[in-house]
Amino acid sequence: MLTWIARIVRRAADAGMVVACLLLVAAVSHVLIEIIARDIFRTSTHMLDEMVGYAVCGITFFSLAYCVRHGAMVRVNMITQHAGARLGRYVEIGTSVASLFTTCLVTYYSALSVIRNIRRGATSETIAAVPLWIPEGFMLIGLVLLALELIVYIVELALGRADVIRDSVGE
Amino acid sequence: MGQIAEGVLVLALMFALLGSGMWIFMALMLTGILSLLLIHGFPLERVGVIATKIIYRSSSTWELAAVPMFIWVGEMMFRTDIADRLFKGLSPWLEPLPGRLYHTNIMGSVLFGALCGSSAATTATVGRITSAELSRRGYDDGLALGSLAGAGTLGLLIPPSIMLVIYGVLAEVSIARLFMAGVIPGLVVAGTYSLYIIVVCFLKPNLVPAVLDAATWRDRFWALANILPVATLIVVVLGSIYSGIATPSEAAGIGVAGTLIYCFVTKQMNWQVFKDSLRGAVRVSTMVCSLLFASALLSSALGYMHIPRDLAQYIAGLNLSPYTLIFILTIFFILLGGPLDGISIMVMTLPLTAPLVQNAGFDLIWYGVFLALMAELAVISPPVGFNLNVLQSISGRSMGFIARASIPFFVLMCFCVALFTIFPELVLWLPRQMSNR
Repeated sequence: MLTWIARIVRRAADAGMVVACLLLVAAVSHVLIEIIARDIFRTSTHMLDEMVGYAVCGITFFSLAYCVRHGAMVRVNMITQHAGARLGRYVEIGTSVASLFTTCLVTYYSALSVIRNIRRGATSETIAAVPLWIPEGFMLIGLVLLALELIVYIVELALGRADVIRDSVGE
Repeated sequence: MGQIAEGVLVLALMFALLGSGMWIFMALMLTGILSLLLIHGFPLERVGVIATKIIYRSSSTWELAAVPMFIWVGEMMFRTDIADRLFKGLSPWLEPLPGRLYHTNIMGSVLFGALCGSSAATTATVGRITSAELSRRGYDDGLALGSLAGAGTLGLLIPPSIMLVIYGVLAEVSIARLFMAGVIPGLVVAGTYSLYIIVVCFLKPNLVPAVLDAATWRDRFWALANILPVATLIVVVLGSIYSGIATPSEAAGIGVAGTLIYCFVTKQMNWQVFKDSLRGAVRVSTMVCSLLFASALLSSALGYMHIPRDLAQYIAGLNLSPYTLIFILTIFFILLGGPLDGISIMVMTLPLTAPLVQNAGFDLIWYGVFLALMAELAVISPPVGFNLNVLQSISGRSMGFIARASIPFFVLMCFCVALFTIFPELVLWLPRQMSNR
């Protein structure tokens, strides 16, 4: 059962990473279209700052769960490296639970904000008038993926089925 | 509770969470949340709403777009033959200098740093070719790896720099002016490293192997063709910013397009390279941007508690001279640079230190360059020095060996910091010329 749930959660995180990559390609494309439109055709998409801002938010949050699992996030490893395996695991469970608390708190209030924006039909005060629940939804989905990833990680750590994630930045 | 006591508690909480091994972005967010909740006494609902708003606002900033895009440029370049071309292009020109091919580490890093803005990518790309080539030709491993570790950090200072983009967003300073401010200091640091190599090789000639066949002028001019792609991209990217065609974020998009064209023209682009470079860019960008939104939350929490203002007043009351303040900050950053990486140090400390240095009469543009130099020191400080990790995996030498080899370059960087503090015009002259245009 746990393996099955873990697999679904990780597939979802992988899918989040794919969406983040597509958003980066979209952001670069929009920048290039804007430069060509402005400098050659003397016109503009009039929404570059806004759309690329949303894309940057999406890139960060959609890939967050994937990055945490693959050791892309920096941390100070001194305790988990030098403590014994058992103590290191307990410390990691503790810090992961604290991370889960932080994630859940922000996820809950982010969900409230998204629901409020849907109900009110709130849009951005720009020419694009983008419904605000869409970019805020990027953040919400990313946070949900991260919370699920952390739950699976904590359970696997507690059952001794996962190793402590080491950061691989700079390797 | 007094504000200073609150400040001490917040710092203690932050260091306890960081020390526990929590992901740094989580530790910063949790510090901000717990500070507002437990120390300042805000209700949970208010803290939740504040946290959500700040995280969303700071992560959807247009200026941040430069981060994933410049990182993508570096990730693509890393997977091409660009480092090999740089080495072939630079070596005939640098061979006549005392210290000969050691200088390819410095010049290669300057040129690559002017393309991608990340020190790890610069060190990895340049080091992949030069470390093997120098070792094969009988150059001393210590000086080769030490100079590479030091010069690889120049990616943080020479524009376009990810570090300066993040600083510009957080400190609300023009990123284009910050980029300008990084040029002279980057060249001064590179020049200092080259000068050191010249002096050391003059004193210890056995560090340099004998010349086998000297390059002719004809070889040198032909070799320039190898540098042409990099030089063209640098001119296009930086030229687009300073000619007013593009903002720094747009220039990053131009950099991506230029690099893609280069990869296609030289037949080095395939689906695997595209996919891997894109994924690599998103990974690094997410790490950087998560630190930024976590820092924005912590910074707001500190602001609600009036800690930066009170700390600035307290420090002002001590009547420290500006140089003493910078000296204390330098020691503080060097100590933090042991366990933490440069960008984390900057985002963590900026809310507290920016008001201090501003009160002491330093320009925020100057402070951005100072912090980039501090980050450069951090990436070559053990035990957590990204450049040391990169060189360890490239060369197979121990972390201790590489850290020891980097010490002279660490000291030289400290010397440069002192130089820029005493002569701030070295940093501020170029951005001023830009404002005067």
